[in-house]
Amino acid sequence: MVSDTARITDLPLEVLEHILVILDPLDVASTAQVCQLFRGLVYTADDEHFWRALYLAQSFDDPRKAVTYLGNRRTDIKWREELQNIIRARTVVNDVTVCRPDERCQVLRTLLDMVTNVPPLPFPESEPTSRNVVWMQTLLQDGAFLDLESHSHEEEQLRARLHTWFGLTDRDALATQRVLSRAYVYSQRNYGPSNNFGPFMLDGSGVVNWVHMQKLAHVFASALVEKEEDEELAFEICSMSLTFCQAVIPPSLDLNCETDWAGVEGLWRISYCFMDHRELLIYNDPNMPEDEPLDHTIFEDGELEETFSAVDIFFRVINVERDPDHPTRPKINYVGEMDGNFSIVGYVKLTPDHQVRWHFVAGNGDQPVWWGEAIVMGNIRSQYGVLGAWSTTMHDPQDPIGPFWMQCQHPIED
Amino acid sequence: MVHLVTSDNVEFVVDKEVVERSVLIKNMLEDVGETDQSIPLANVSSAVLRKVIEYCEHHRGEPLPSADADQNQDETRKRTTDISEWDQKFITVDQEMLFEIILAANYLDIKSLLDVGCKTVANMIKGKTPDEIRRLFNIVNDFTPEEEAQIKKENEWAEDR
Repeated sequence: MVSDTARITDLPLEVLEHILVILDPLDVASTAQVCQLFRGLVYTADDEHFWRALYLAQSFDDPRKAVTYLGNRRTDIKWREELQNIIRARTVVNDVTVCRPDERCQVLRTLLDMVTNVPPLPFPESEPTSRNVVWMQTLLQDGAFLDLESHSHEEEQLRARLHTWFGLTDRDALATQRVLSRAYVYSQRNYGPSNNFGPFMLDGSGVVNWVHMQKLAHVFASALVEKEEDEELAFEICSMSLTFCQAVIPPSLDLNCETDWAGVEGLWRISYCFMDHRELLIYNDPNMPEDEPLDHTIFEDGELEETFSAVDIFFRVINVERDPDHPTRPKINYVGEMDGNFSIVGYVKLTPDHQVRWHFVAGNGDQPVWWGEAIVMGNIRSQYGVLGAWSTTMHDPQDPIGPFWMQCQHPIED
Repeated sequence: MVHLVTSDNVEFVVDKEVVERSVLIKNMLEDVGETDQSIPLANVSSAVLRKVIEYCEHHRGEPLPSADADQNQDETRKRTTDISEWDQKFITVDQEMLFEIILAANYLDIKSLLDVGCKTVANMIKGKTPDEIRRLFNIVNDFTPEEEAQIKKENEWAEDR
């Protein structure tokens, strides 16, 4: 007998689509496997209309309003592919045992794409608005996924980059983790002419070493948290975190025409850390053979003297130089002054892997003593600021080294 | 008062304010002006219209979604599948009635009722396997073996849930 009662398959296509769009994408995939009708709705539509609607129904940023970390508008949104990658990444982070060997890097790239493509904020004092950031914080806060062992150099770098952007995880609060990061940051073995005494690869390529960056971020953010009275609160609102990664681009600013695309001009606070010099020298024992690890115990007793200090310096752009590799992001030469006595000279320039590098030398009068190498954290002109390592211009083996962090206090508006 | 006549020829007399929750009827009334003539609803049975009017009575006076919100549907459409308590009780009906209500809400253009209906169906699907969904809605698997292989491939991204 033919029944004339209504069935789900009698519903108009736009109503069925409405139902699919309010489902989680995993439920959409299940429904698409039910019969031809549903498969047709989900997979065989010519345009990306359905996948765009499904993507936009999730709690993510609208990619059409996002900019890349270098501040460019996105033009190549692949709704279906991107959403599928994101949902797959979510599955893997929630249960790493299902991760296929050939997707380890893809999952990390997907997560990085999510945090490096977020909407810009109009003003430095704007409240953070990114939904991708909130989503990512819920997903990664415990730190288990970010502390997984990597199977390749590429995976290790991707994971460390994601971790650096993310900021402190719950696991980063463990004393044992901090020992490892300090041991890395204060080891002179990780600084040399081949990496410009900064967080770059030791092969001379000038490419950022994200493992180094992550250790710097961990050491510095931990010090920042520690000096606050309410450590738990400080941990939550630490400025060196994903929350402050959104680019700050006033609506009137065209970065591709702006000389000071990096937002150099303004008042900056340079904060830096150093450990007791005698202890640094004991740790970097010159008699220890190169192939043997340095002795970490100095960091383990919890008594380590790490001093935290900060200066405020006003930066000015002197001129820009064409960068043939990055036509819209020229090299910016800048100077900074404090008390008419202490001065800084440096430049901002993209690295071969398109990261925003800050270099400077600084000192009293004409004789610079200090050397800084740092990378912009978060998106271009972010509130997170710039993170790196300081050393001396002489680079004597006995000389101090340490992490530093710069944050813009008052940018100059045109 | 507005007179409505259903597909099975039953006449309903309803408050204008209640019936105007249907954008279709609201537009009709605006076009014809004050009239005593009854409006025929050839696609809606009396059993379904009774439910629809019950819904409109309960939500009488609530603001209607603006045309503006409709334009930005992509953005305003939230994935939340929450349904208010009264609506939940109202929509606890058998499957046939559920789909009839959705069809009527779609035809009469009552957005909030359509939403309640769609969310209810979505909640029924949530967390189920393709097989369970087929059983739930009595749908026949009409894929060929070749298609089955292709389907597995195109849904690889959603495995291991």
